[in-house]
Amino acid sequence: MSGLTLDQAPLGARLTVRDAGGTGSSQRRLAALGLRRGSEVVLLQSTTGGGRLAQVGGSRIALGPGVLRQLLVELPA
Amino acid sequence: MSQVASRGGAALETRPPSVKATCHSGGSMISAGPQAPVIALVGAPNTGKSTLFNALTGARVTMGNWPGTTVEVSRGIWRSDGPPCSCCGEASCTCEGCECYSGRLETTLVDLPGAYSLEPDSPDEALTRALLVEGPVAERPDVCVMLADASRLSQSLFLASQLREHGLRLVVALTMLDVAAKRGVALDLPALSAAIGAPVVGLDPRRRTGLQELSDAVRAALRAPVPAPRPTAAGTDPLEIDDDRFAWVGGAVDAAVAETGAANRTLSDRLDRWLTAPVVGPLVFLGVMWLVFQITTVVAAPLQDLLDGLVSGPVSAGASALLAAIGLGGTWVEGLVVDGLIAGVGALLTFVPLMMLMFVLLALLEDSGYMARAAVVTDRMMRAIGLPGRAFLPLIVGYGCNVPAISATRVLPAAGQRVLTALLVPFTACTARLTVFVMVGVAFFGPYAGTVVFAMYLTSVLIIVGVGLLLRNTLWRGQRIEPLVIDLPPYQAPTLRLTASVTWVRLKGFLQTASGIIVVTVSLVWLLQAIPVHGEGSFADVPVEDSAYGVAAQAITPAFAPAGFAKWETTSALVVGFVAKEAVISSWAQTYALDEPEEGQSGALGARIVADFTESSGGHPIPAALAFLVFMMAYTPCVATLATQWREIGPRWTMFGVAMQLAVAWLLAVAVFQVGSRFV
Repeated sequence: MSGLTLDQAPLGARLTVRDAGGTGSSQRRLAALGLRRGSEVVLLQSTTGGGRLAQVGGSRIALGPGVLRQLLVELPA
Repeated sequence: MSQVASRGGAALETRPPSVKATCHSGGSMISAGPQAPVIALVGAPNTGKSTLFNALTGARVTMGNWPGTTVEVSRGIWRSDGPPCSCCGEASCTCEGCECYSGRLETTLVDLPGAYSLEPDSPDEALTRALLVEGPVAERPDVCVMLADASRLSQSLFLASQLREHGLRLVVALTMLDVAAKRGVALDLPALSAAIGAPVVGLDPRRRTGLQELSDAVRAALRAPVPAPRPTAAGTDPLEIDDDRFAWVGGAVDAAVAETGAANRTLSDRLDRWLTAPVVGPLVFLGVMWLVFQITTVVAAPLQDLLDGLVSGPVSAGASALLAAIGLGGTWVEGLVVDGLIAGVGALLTFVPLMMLMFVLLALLEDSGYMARAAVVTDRMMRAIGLPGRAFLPLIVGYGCNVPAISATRVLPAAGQRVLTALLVPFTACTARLTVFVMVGVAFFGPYAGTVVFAMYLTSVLIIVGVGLLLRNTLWRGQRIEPLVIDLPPYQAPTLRLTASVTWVRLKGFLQTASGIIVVTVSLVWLLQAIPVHGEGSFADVPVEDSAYGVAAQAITPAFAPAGFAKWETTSALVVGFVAKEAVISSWAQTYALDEPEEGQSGALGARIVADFTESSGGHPIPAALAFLVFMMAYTPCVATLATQWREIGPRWTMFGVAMQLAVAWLLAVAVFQVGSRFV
């Protein structure tokens, strides 16, 4: 049960969001896209400028470095 | 809630806005009449909302900013025919007491701004919330059609969970069923409908399927009573309330998703592997931008020249001949018609092919899904000057022509960033300015003209970065750009009909706004040049320096003394350049009564200009010429750009932009001359 921010998380692993971090409005935006505590994320690849492409539910979301550092996730046990 | 009120209140009038009150949105707003039901389209950005809107309303549309906001709302008339009557079989049933849905129904369809939720995080969402749930019940839309993306059902239904908390007749329109199917997700629509407590219709706005089912569902909803709001969590903790909503969404998804196979890797997924990748992504992006730039310059140029030649040649000659035939040849009427009105309309027309190409390209980039990828690729670089990645496109296009570039700022979702980008676009060195750079460059710098022109492009980039940083740290200080979070829509093959209709609607909007401003300004310049102020001339027959125009140019001339080019012949060219940079060289030729030099040369005109600059700069022509070029680079590009800005960001920001361009241009020109004249 190790917690780490998304920018440090490995590609391809099934991660569980522990805390979406950030302010209320940015939390809501992430939640509307399916990124909220308890939801599952898989990082697919790195993108230009240090971001990641993530699979969340049925959708693919591009996340910038700022958001990656704000999302706290857990590796599978 | 306090945040909601303050965010909404800043942008909206004190009285809650209403989709039904059309009076304060100006008499020109289309609606199907005061008694017609009002249907609102809501949904997240990029769910095909505008496409559905266009499919349902055809061309009967008005687009414009919602009063008091920079949020664009489209309104149109949706006419639909019901199924034939079940008892008499007629298309328009007249049976007594029959409750079938036959007959034609006319409704006012309002395309609300994209919103992920009813929590207002942007002006768009604040307006959507205000129109849907903040006003009195009677002012709300009669039916709310919510678009939901079947391929990411749980995210799409969050908005439904909030809409169901209010007394609204909701119809859920489910798109992307084919994408969901490819990903191994099959949906049970009746089960979903039961779980949500609202009818659910599957449709494809791009291929225009399922529209009749939607119309039937809306008709049925209009006859049904307003459903009771969904009971919500008792607490006031926002997290708890959201948990409750997500639980509700989870229940609906579990009920509806009949089968989940292993998600196949679609073509979209494989393309993204390359198009957003660290190295290949930017290369592809540069290729696409190069193509856009080529098409907006190389392909558009011959079309522009053709129209220009047509207007200044046969059309003007025809008008002159016609006026001569009725005895008005050589009079001021001919001047007004040919040099004022026809020249103004001609200037407008030459922009039409360019704008059309630009709008087609924009529609293709948006519709295909590439725009979202381009935004990912350029995000980091643009963020440095406080803009999101998407702002790259308008700035690139600006180096071809500023007019379509201003329109291209629509790719930016947030109003604040749209305004900021539209204010920076005029600092991109368009090709019209290039002709002046080359001519002045050759006259003053001979073989080094190329280097000077290159320096001007570099100056353009530096001004954009500088002004961008300045604005970001002053007027835009509070406006943090949202960290990059982009939902990547699946790639789709653009459809011809959609591209054509979007292009037409935008082109019509451009012509409506820009035509008046351009024609009036060109006619005004003609008028000022026709009015004699001193000397012997009469109306419409006066040397330029004796006209009201010449006097005005002379009046502003002293302002350029610190920049080294205070000669009225020079400032007169600058005034013309305010209307169009293309006209600068011909105006100079006219003023000096010399022939216009061939392209790439400077000729006798160049020699005259060098002589004048030497005189006005007190023997420092080189820094004065550089100062002039920098001024030419930075001040207001042309009237057409202003007209487009007027349409996109409103009169106040347009005026602010003009003041800022003049200030930046003057300060830089003075700095260049003052520093330069100490050395050269």
